[in-house]
Amino acid sequence: MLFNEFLTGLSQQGGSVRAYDKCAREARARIAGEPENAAALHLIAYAAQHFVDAYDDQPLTVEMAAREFDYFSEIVGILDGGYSVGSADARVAALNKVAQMLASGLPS
Amino acid sequence: MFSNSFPDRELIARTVARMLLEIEAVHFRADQPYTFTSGLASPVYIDCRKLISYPRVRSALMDFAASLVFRSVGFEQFDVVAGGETAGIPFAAWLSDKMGLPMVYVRKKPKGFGRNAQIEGSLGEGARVLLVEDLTTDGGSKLKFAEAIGHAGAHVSDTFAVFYYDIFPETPARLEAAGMRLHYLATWWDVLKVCRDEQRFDAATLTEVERFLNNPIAWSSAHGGISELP
Repeated sequence: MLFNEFLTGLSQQGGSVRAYDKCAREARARIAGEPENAAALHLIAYAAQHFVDAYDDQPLTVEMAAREFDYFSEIVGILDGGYSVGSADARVAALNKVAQMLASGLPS
Repeated sequence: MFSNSFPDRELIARTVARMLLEIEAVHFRADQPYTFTSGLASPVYIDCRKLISYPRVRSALMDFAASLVFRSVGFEQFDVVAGGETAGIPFAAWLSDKMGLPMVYVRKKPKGFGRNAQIEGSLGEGARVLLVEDLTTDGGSKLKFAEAIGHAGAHVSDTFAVFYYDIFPETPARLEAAGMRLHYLATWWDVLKVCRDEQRFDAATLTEVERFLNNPIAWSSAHGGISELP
C-alpha cells in the first residue's frame, strides 16, 4: 500500500489536528522524491490541510474526529486501490474520484 | 489606558471564572468528549473568543491582565505586544492599548508567497516582546510563535493568556526552558471551584470534570483519545 502509512500515523495520534498537520507536511515532502505519485500525494496533503484549517481553533468532538478519519481513510483507500492496479486509467480514475469528493465538501 | 488598580490574584481568578461562565464560554460534556489539537479527549471546552463580543467583560479582563503583567514583570520591560493568530490578535490589541505599547501579530506560518511574511507590523531588532494568546494548554503554539519572533530578531520573555488549562504540570517549565514566563488570569481549577460554590452544573458532571483535570491522560485513554502525549 503506497499511502496507507498516513492512516497509521493519524490513528496513533487520535486523528488530532496536529496529526493531520503532520500528515499534510509528510505528504508534501514525499512529492519531490515520488514524482510518479505527486498528484495523489497532493490530494492527500490537501485533504489533511483542509482538516487542520477546519478544526484548528474550533471545537472537535471525538465523534466528529472519528467521522473525519473514516472519510480520510476512504480517500486514501481509493488512491491506494487505483495505484495498486498499475494502469494509468485506474490511477486517473482514482484521482478524479477523490478530487470530486474533495470538491463536493468534507463531512461536518 | 490601564486603570492602575492591582486586584488580588485570587479575586482576579474568581472574577474571570465567573465572567466566562456568565457568557457561556465554558462547556462540560463528558458523554460526548472533545478532542484537543494534541488528540487528548476531554470533557471540557472553553471558547475565549466569545469574550470579544462582551465589551464590559473584555475591558475588565484587560485591566486585570495589565495589572498582572506590570506587577509580575515590571512597567518598562516590554517594547511590543504580539498577538498569536487568530484568537490572540484582539486580546493583544486591547492589551497593547492598556499597556501603552505597539502591537504586532504573528501568523501560524508564513503566507508562502509574496513577501512570505509571518509577522505583521513593525518589530525592531532586539525588541522585548510580550506574546499574547487566548489560551494555554500545553504551550506548543507559544513555542512556535516565539520561534518566529526570534527569527525576526526579537525576543519573547513573557507570554500571557486569558485562560490556562493547568492540566499538564510540565507546561510552565517547558515554556521557561524556551525563555518564557507564563502569565494567566484563570484556570480550569478556578472555574471548577466557582461551579461548585455556586452549584452550576450537576454534581456528576463536575465530578467527571475533576477526574479529567486530575488525570487527563487516563481520562482521555478511557474516552477514545490518545493514551500518551506525542
